[in-house]
Amino acid sequence: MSVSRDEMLSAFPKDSPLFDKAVDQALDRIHFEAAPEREKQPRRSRKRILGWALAGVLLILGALGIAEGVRLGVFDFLIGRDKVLPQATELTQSDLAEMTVGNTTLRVTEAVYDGQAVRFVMSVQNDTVSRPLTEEEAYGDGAFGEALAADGVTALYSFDWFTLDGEVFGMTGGSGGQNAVGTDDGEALIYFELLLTESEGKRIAAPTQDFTLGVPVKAADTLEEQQMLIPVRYVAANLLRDVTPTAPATFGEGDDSYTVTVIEAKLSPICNTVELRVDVPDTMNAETALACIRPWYSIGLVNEQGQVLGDRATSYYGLPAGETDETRHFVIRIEVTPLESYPDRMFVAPTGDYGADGVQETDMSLAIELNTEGQ
Amino acid sequence: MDEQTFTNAVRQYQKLLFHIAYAMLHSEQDCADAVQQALMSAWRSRGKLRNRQAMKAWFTRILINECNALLRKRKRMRLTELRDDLPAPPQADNIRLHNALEELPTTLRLPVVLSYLEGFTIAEISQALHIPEGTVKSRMSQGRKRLGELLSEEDRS
Repeated sequence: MSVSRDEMLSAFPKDSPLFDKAVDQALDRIHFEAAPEREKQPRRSRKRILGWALAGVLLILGALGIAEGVRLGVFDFLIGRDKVLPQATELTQSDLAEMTVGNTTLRVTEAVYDGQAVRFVMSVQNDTVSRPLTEEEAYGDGAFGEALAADGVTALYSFDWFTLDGEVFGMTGGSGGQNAVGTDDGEALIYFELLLTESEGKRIAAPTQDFTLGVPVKAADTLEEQQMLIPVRYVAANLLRDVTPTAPATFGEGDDSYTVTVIEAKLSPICNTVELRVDVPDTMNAETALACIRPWYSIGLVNEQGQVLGDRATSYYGLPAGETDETRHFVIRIEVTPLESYPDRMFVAPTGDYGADGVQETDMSLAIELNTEGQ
Repeated sequence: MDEQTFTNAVRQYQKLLFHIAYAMLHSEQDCADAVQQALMSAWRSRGKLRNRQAMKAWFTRILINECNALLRKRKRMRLTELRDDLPAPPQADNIRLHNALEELPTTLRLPVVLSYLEGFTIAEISQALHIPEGTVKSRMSQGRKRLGELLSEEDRS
């Protein structure tokens, strides 16, 4: 039988406002995520260039396959981290778990847990594909992907939930990773980054003792059978500093006042994080509400003089900020590269709009001091 | 790839993405969820796209992965968790063909839709669905045949 394109087209809804809105919202989020890149372009620092040089090395290794014997660890995948702090290496754990599924061997070769995120590297190797793997194959293309599929291994694709000591959580916002490279001996090294922040609207209490992380790696009837269990050590008690302020900040006066709550601000030798929420009252008119919210689209960790500290490696926005007349709140999360030392007083503040000249100016009138006296 | 290039490509392929998501999920809300996840994934992994010429297949493949993930998730949901407060879905003009397509297994439906509706070549379908070209041809052939049978069945009933 033959069907014309017009006939086929008539079998689908003509349009979908809901779908179009979803696309708009995703592009909004991407616009915000891209902000740090736009800001960095005009004055790229040496540190950043080193970071990109590392990224380039990874790409080349990925394209060519990594030579046998070279073992990439968690920090090799943390682009932008040209220097690993000594405190960070203290958190590194090796050879945490191994599991065999048919002809496939899965090994968690290295992990780092700093009390707020688990980052780990998983090696996936199939006995039937022993030649060097390209980057594409490491992502599951070609014979390697087919071999994994034949064994029912889903480690490269199906990572939309996890367990902490047996409790199931949906994937957390901002988690990512699953960057992969191939090695010369037919191994795919996959990097995972799992933020233990919030899952499906609920905050997660990140473990403060050793725990077992379960991640889905194979097709099976039950969640238990699908998992690979990874014992993770908690050694971060004195390394993670919680500098979250104790009270929300209020800006503006009278009917035009609004609040900014720093939900979480943590300094870690792996990655610093700040998450804040802006709330404007329902009674405020739409134009004023957006004027209050917009400065917070770009924030930074700054010192008393307003100088931005560290590189903002990535940004994550907890809620889509598709601007509408109904927009009354906004959540932003930034990740900042760790520093060897920090000033006594630190703030989170709007760091300016992204003009064509790329210049940013910290607005210290909206700065919120972090609780550096705290733990 | 910079943000502008990415955004332009998304706008260029927006209809295509809707058709693919709809062909797999049949639900406007699910399509919206899947495309949001897919676009975020695509943006965050844009460094992996080596050949800009393959962008259409790349977007398609990422979206299909997200749709599959959503389908897996939906399977785990209890019926009671399904939302009943969603707006009525948009209607297709050709309900007969719409229903017949819905009856086709996804493995046959996608190659047919990509070819007839979106003008994908065999090579592009192979790239997007991650299956050999020979498999694409046989699935298209089976898909056409089965679609014809389904339409005949509908006409008889």
